[in-house]
This record gives sequence, C-alpha cells and structure tokens, in this order.
Amino acid sequence: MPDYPKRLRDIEINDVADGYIVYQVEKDRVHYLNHTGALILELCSGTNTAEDIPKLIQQAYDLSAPPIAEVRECLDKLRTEQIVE
Amino acid sequence: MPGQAAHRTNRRIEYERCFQVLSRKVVLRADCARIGFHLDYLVQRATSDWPSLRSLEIDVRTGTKEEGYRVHYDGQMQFAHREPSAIVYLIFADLYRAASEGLEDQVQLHAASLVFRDRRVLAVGQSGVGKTTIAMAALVRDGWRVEGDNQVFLKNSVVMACPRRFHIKEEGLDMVPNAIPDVTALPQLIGDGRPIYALDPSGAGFDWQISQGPVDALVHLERPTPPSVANASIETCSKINMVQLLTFHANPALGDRKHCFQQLSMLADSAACFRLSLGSPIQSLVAIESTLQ
Repeated sequence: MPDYPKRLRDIEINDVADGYIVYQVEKDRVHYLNHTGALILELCSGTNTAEDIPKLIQQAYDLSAPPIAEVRECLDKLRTEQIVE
Repeated sequence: MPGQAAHRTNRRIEYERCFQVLSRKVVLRADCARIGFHLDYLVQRATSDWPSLRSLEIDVRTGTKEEGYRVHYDGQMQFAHREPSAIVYLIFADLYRAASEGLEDQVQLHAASLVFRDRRVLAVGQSGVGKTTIAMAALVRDGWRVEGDNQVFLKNSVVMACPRRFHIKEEGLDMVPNAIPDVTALPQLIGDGRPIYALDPSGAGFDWQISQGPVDALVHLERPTPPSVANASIETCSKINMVQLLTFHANPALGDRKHCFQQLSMLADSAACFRLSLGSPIQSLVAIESTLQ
C-alpha cells in the first residue's frame, strides 16, 4: 500500500525565513526544522507518497538525483517525534 | 472614613514623588525622609508613549517600633515591615504586577533595548553577560540612546522596554565616569554580595525615552571563548538559531508556550539576527554599529 505521510493536527508551525519552528501543543515540545526539513514537512500533506517526496525535493532544489536516503531519514525522525503520521 | 481622612490630611509628608510605570500613574509618599532614599529605587522618569490608565497611591507610614513601616495602597493597609529594603522589594513586586495589567498577552523578553540612529537593537543574553554594561556604553556614545537594560514586552514584533532603573555593577560605572557625579546618592541593592546601583538615566542628564516599535536587529551577547580573547566579533545568525536562543530569555505570557514560540518566531523573522562575541563595551558597540550601516 502506498505510504502517504501526513502532518498531525496537534502541531503549531511558525515559519521563519530559514525554516520552521514546530511546537507540539500536547507534548509541549519544540522542533527546529531547517529549510529542507520544512519543505519535507510541507510536502507531508497526505496527498504525496513517501516515494514522491524525494522527487519533488529534487525538482525544488534542482538536484542531480532525488535525495532518497536523506528524505527517508527526515521522515523517520518526523514520525518518531509524532509530527507526521 | 472621616477619621482616616483626618489622619491623612494631618500627617506630615516628608517625601513625595509622582511617576508613571506602564499603565499606572504612581504617587509615592512617606512620612519619613530616611526611607525616601530607599524608595527612590522605585522612582523613574522615563518618558513613554504608554497610556496611563489608572493611578496608584502608595503611602509608607512610620508605625510602631515593632511593626516598622506600614504600607498603604490607595488608602488600604497592605503590609508592614521593619526593613526598608524589604519594603522596597515588596512594593516593587506589587507595583510592576499592577502596572502590567493589560499586558498579559505580551511575552517578556530579557533584553536591553538600544536605539542607534533610529534603529532599535535588542541585546539579549543570560543574566550577568553584560547587557547593562553595553547599555551604559551606549548611553554615552554618539548616535545611541538606551530605552532599557533588562526587559522588553513583546507582541506582534513590536516591543517596548520595561521602565525600570538600570542595575549597574561597579565595573559598569566606569563606562560613565563623568556622568554620575555622586554614585553614593544612587539607591542601591545588594546582588552577589556586591552593591548594584540603580540609575535613572534622566536623573544623570541623559534623554530616557521609551517608545513602542519594531526591532531592526537582534543581538545575542556571548562571552568569548577562551575568555582572554578580547576582540569583539559579530556574525550573522540563522532565524531558527535565534528563536532557539530567545527561548532561554523569554517568559511566556500566562505560561502559554504556543503563543510564546509564535511571538519569538515573528520577532526573529522581522529582524536581522546576530551573535556577538563580546569584547570591550566600545568594541562591542562598534561591531553592532557595523551591522546597522
């Protein structure tokens, strides 16, 4: 079954010029995402598959290859921290 | 009560000061000149554009030998204490709590608020890092004026310095050797066993204006490592990093951390962000100036 990562509702996103400050209200925890992390989180809309996201990042940053391992690592972290489901 | 009124009108007033603290117009009176020296700690003459909403009369009366001084707010007895410094601390806490009425949704940020050629700089840093020392150096340097040495109220990227006398350690007095002719005339506190002088810049002849406005630069003050390196150096800091740093120096309004992060993020996003490795106060100011050219 395709994996559609999706941001959880219980998070407050504050965007700054170089990333996101993500606050988890119930857990009272804060996470600082750089520009790439913020973009990955943005792409976790529930409509993009986990396989699509590296390709979209590749297009966004005009990379020679999709950053599959980096995106997977970031998604794992976001899921571990329960920012993404 | 008629008796009370008669008592108040017949009482001799040896000390009286009128001033504004945020939303409160304060009248501070005492029937004993001796405690006036201590009460001066509370008095400041910053001019601000904050509307004065309510008045507060604080009356310090000499009581019996056992009770010491009796403190009344708006004619109502509040507490008594024999120690003048305790009286001042207690009044200070009550006064600033009352004066902060209407500011409950503002984040309090520990920062010195400095203005260089109409551009506001917030110097943020841990207690004792040198916020007041930088503020004192700015006080006497061309192009600068100082709004506060310790705290600002923040909402929607607009700040306003808290009007409180500057707390100067002895080494800070060296910054303005000629500006304060008689240090012993300043009210004092004891911090870490050393005297801290409470300076009202307007009393020392400086222009002390506080206004609400946006922030042009956020500067995180840091002690150099190793400490022997004395040259100030300043570098750009990411917005994310600045928000991380600011969280250590902010008191969330009503414990609302969500609101706090939102406000700190907005602030960092609206200002240029820097980390300053401190050198001498003048060097440090020159480094800040270089970012504002």
